[in-house]
Amino acid sequence: MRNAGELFEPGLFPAIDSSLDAGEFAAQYWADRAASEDSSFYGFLGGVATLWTRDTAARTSLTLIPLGGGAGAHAARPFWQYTSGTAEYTSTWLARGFGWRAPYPTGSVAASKLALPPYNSAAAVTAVRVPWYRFVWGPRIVAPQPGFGAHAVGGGLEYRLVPFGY
Amino acid sequence: MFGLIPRVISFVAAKSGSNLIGRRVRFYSPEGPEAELLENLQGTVVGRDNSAAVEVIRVQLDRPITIAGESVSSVYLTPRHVHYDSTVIAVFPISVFVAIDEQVDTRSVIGQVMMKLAK
Repeated sequence: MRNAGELFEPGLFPAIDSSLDAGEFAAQYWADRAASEDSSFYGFLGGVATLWTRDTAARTSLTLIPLGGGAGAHAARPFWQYTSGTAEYTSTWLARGFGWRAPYPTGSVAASKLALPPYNSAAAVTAVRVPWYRFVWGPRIVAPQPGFGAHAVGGGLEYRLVPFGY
Repeated sequence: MFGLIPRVISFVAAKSGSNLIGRRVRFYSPEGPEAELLENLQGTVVGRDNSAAVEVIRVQLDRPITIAGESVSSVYLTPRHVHYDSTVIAVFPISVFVAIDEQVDTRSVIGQVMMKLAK
């Protein structure tokens, strides 16, 4: 088993070698331009380029892999469906918060933010795990529905699980 | 940020004089107590009122539906989402509440459908 640093040994993987050459070239290029033009922006670009040199690539990889995994886990967090909690309810519209919990408390708050119709009291909320191969469209901002009462102010975000065939 | 694309489409539609009146529309993906009645309904847009806080679109149905024993030949729709109103329907399907009264209130709403222009 190799450790991460060995993956960047010269000559082991030509593609990685080439990318490290490009990174070192870019770091030197932007450093020269930052010095000659006294530009902090060019210095910033040089700083970014130094993340992918023979000295830094292993550590950069070890930093990015957990970040990427975390981003993937965050992208896979559940959607939520608010229902009356009694009859079977099917809807293609889902809500989702930034975290792993339902975005709104059940009941009046959810009914208000999602401007729900009278047949959906939002008394219950169910996590919906969307398979990776299903397409989710959104978000769209819920519009207020004055006809449903003053509470139906909207402003929540909804996503649509697009059914097959549409 | 979320509404940038539909707003651009609305702007272009307004500048080009696009008008929904007279266009044929189709309902699909219905939800709510009268969902079965609303599946695959088609009709013609005969009115549009955006003078109030929410737009109300009136659609004359191709075939009447029966709600609580009464025949209903036209329905009133209000868009469910900000910026996704009738002005973007040429590009995006929109979600609308369906009601049998132009007030589109708790007594008259019968469901929610996706609506797009019929071919």
